[in-house]
Amino acid sequence: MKKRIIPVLTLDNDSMVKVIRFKEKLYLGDPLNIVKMFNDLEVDELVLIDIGATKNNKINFKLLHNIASQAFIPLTYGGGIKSKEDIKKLMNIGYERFVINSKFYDSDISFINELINEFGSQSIVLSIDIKKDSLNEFKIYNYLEDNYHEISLDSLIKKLNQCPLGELFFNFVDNDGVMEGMDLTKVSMISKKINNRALFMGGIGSFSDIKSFFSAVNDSLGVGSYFVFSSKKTRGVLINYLNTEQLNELHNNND
Amino acid sequence: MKKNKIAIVDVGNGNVDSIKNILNVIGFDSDLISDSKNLDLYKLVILPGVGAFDPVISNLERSGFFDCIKNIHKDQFLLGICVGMQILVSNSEEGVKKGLNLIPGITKKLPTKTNFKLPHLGWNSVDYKRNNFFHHPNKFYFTHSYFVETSSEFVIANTKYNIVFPSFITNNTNIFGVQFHPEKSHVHGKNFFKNFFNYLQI
Repeated sequence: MKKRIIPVLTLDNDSMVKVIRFKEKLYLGDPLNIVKMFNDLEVDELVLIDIGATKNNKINFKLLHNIASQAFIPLTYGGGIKSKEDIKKLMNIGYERFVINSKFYDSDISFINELINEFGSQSIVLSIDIKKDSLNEFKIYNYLEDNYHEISLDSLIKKLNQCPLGELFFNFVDNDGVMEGMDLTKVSMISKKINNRALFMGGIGSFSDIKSFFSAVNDSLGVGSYFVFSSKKTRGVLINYLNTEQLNELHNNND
Repeated sequence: MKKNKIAIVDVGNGNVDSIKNILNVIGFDSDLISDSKNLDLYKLVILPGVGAFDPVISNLERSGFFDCIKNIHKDQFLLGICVGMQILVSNSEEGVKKGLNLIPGITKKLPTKTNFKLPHLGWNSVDYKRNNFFHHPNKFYFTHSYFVETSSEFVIANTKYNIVFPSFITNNTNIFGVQFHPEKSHVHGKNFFKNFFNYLQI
């Protein structure tokens, strides 16, 4: 089984951007172009998150359709999904997995269960954005209102352990786009507590960060900045992925 | 009458556009069909499946495809993908509905243990069991929590995730199923379809 190292790309209306700590936005370029480059690099899969979809109350189906038609790889989409109909449409145009966020916190577990019954547990991903509060305690961040959801991380995990989700997608908001390594202590703690699969993201800035992640846990890794910028310092846009040598190194170490 | 080549069943449970796109890229035209009456016109019918067992079956029943596919002509080929493969057998632990029963077998839940969480998700190897079938040593994309249990005479290839399970099956005449997603497996997927069509001589 290959390790999953997944470029996670952020859409904002018709542009592709990279966000820093969920706030500052850097423009990357034309989404179609960037996805085509990742497709040509033969990445294993892509996750696309539209940060404007919920705010604008609109899923950009046309753009998503165009994106899917030039990517022959697995695609996960998140942003503004509110109904089964949304998912049916996205499925038809070529997406397999769907990330739920806001709608979950509004309607609780019943919405997720409904989706699982209809589309199978493998297709439903829940994203959990976590951020340290002023007391240095991890809370679940609500990006729409720039505050925290009431439910604690521990009680959310307990609840989700009863629910066969396709994956939990943990975003470390404080590390997002910073490229200075992940909070592997917290990643490991979460990994030990959950029954579901997990995709962790936030902080990767080098190949050695990627290696450290896989020596710490047996989960999957989301990467943003490191695959779209030339370096931490300049942040020039450079679409890239791991080379064959690096991939072999990762897979030989742990197979 | 000369048959058209490839139909993709489009009744709302599949990533139909992805399949059409990848076939296009390797030079094969295909039609999305949502009227079951047209099924007879095609040499190969592709049955995609993204979703859970019962809703996929219900969609096929509602649109009339269930009976048409169940009675598919001997000179037509059928390829089920993912849940499209899981519904080829008699029934599933994921639901209460009856499957198409075109290949003997049952769809069961994959057993889990530490480091083998569900779903089985990502790229994995496919190990061919037959010498007379096209060989294709490479990796494909999987995303599923259920697998088809059938006897070895129907198995073309296996995959290992905690257990060894069939990832490519056939009734040994005209019905085929793959647990992986060739339409999402990039270069490997393109090669799979090329080899498969070549094998079927379409």
